Amino acid sequence: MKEILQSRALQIYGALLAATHVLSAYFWMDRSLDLVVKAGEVSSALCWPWAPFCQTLRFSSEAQAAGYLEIYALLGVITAVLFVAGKVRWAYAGLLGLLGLKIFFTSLSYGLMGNYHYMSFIIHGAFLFAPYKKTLIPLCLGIFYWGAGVLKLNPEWLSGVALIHPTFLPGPLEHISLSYAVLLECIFVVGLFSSKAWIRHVVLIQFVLFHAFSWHIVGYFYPLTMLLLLGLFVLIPLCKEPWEAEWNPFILKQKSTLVLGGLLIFLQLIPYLWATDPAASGTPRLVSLNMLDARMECETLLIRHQNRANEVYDPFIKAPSTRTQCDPIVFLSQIPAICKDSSENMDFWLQSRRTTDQKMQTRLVIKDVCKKNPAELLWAEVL
Amino acid sequence: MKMVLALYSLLIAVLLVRAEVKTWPLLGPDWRFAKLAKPAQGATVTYDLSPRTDRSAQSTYRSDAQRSGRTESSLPRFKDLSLLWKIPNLNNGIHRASKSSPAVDPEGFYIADDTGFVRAYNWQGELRWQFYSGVSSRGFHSTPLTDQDSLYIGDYAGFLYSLNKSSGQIRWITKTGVTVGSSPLLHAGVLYVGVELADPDGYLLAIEARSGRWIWTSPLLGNHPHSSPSLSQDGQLLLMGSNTGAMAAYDLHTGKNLWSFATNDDIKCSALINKDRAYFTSWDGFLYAVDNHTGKMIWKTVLDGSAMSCPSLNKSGDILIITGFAKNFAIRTANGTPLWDSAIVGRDLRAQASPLIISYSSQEVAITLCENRSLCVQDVQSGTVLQKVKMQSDFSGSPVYWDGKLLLSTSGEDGLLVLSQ
Repeated sequence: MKEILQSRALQIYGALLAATHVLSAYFWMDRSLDLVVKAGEVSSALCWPWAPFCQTLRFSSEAQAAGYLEIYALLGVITAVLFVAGKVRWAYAGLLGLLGLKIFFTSLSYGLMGNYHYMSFIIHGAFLFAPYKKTLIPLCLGIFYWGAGVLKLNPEWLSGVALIHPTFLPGPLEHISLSYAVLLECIFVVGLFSSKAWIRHVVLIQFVLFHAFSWHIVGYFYPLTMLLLLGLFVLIPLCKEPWEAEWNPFILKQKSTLVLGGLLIFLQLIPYLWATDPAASGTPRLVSLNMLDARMECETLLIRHQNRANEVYDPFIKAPSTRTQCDPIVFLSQIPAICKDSSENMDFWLQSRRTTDQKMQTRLVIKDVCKKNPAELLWAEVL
Repeated sequence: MKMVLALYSLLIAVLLVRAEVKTWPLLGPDWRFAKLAKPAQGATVTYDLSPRTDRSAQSTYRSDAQRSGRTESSLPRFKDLSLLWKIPNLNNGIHRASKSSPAVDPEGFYIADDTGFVRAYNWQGELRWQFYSGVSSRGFHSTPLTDQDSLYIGDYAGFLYSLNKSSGQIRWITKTGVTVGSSPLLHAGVLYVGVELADPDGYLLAIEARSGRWIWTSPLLGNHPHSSPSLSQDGQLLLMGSNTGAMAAYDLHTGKNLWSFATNDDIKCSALINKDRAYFTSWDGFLYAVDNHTGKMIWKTVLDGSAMSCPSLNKSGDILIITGFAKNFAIRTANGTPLWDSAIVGRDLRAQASPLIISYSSQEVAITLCENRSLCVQDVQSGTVLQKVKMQSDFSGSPVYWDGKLLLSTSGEDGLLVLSQ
């Protein structure tokens, strides 16, 4: 709180963070209301592994959910105004409340999972609770880009197949741009922490252009969220405050920043440690970035064993989003609704591959799925 | 710090180059992702694998690996057939493609249908087990293959199954593509089957029968293979047709394409291989005889229109029985000239059924579709109709004969007909 009170740049950044909530409210109102209401459809049973009974928390109608989002958006506007007006204590409480409201809303459906929310949550954590905010927040953003860049070091990204929509660029230029994005995110991102302002600005401009360009591929929400989160890089020099996020001996004294930065890097590595292919995993990726780094293809099967009458079915509904289409959590969430009773002897089989891979890999074979409770199913990948 | 950054940058550059090297072969002329050059391999889930290491086919679509369409009877001559059993509710005719034919072996008979069921019966007509594939609304069109202890079949969702022949328990399952309409062939412990992909495309798959382990895939064909693979008598190559209009030969051990013979339309049925020749029909209306080692045409004979039937060969190898658009033909293998022909009465759609030749010790007969909803027993030499069996429904597969019983899967109310001599 003290840091925010002392820094005009952080106060305005708080307003930008509040604006991300207004944006989230609009985004969800636009397309996600059906995911957060109680419904009987199999696909609507999508829950986060840490909230396996999310359906009980959901709204009874879309109108109710929309009302919630309206209040949430209004609080976002008020909080932003309070930050700009310098009412920091109230604004801080408002942002805390907004974070709580967003966590609750996101918990209602795994279908609301998104990289943009993940990054926003981490930055909120850094802004609200961590010291050395003006160092830690840029560092977190740099780690996000680095993590995203590492995930792109594969044919899936470089061939362009992972993109939701093709770009308007001619093929050769698109390919060069995709390769350059990897260099930008993995190497040139270091320039964001240069002691030379012009280097920071050159790199920052490239990221701004990168997000602006991505608009026609990923839609408005992702680039707008990122532009708001990147705001601190502009606000600190604009408010004529000293730039603190540099590679210098001072940063080594900020033990908490180093620990939190190290922890964030470690979280990005978890899917690599736990899953054969991070892009094919669900639960191991919950704590890391969920990039559009691969277009997955998958097959699911339920195998019912009965005496002299075996059966196979594929009753699963694939999620409409490219990222979650083959996410194991999407299918595991549907199993309780599919099983009529726990006495059924059914196995679940999931195989998937990246579009550019030559072989399908078995990701999960779970025996007797109907005998497992929802939490066991949702954590099946790591248990 | 600068040194660390330089080394890190070098590492990223190396990783990027490595990824680029993997990416380049995947790009088309427009520098964007083209489809994979080879079929993607499916994973296999295994259950109760067979302990047997040696296995050979006991029942194969069209009688044997050469798809001869001929079977032998211990009886001296043909005797009239009469209805023994009728198993209703077989196919519902959801899709016009040829239906699965029964499989028969010493333990009983096995029928698969377009509603998704595979059912096993003993020779007393009692149901032993059933398996249901609910993954495709079009069920099964592939004909089951049995060996000593397992049954193999592909469904219209592209899954290939191995089932315990005694209990129906699953041995293994693999997903091969979007559809398997082709019937498998077993040779030296390896299953071979045509697989259809979306696009449309397809390929020939070799897979270990015991474990479901993928061995090889042929190059992509460019269209669907409805045709089932046939094995040359020297056991060196496989022939399979497709909707590209080409009959192609593949190396048995590698799947490499050895030759391709182009017709002017889809090839739906299997090639019949006898010695160095392959015989097959095409929707272009011809019956072809091709040298199966070189792919050179020996002769071709015009039929009465577009044909999708598989030919049957008599025991001495000099007469082929084939169903054309709306006629049955007996063709001399020596030069492709007709010996006799007979109209399929009342037929105005292309016939889909394939004939079966039964060789008695002193007579050979062909079981044919000779009239809409009628099955005929015709003398192979003369074409004389020895018996006509009226049915309530049509049939599009191939009749099967076992120990004095003729089995026929229909696509209507008759279900499975079991006729006895």
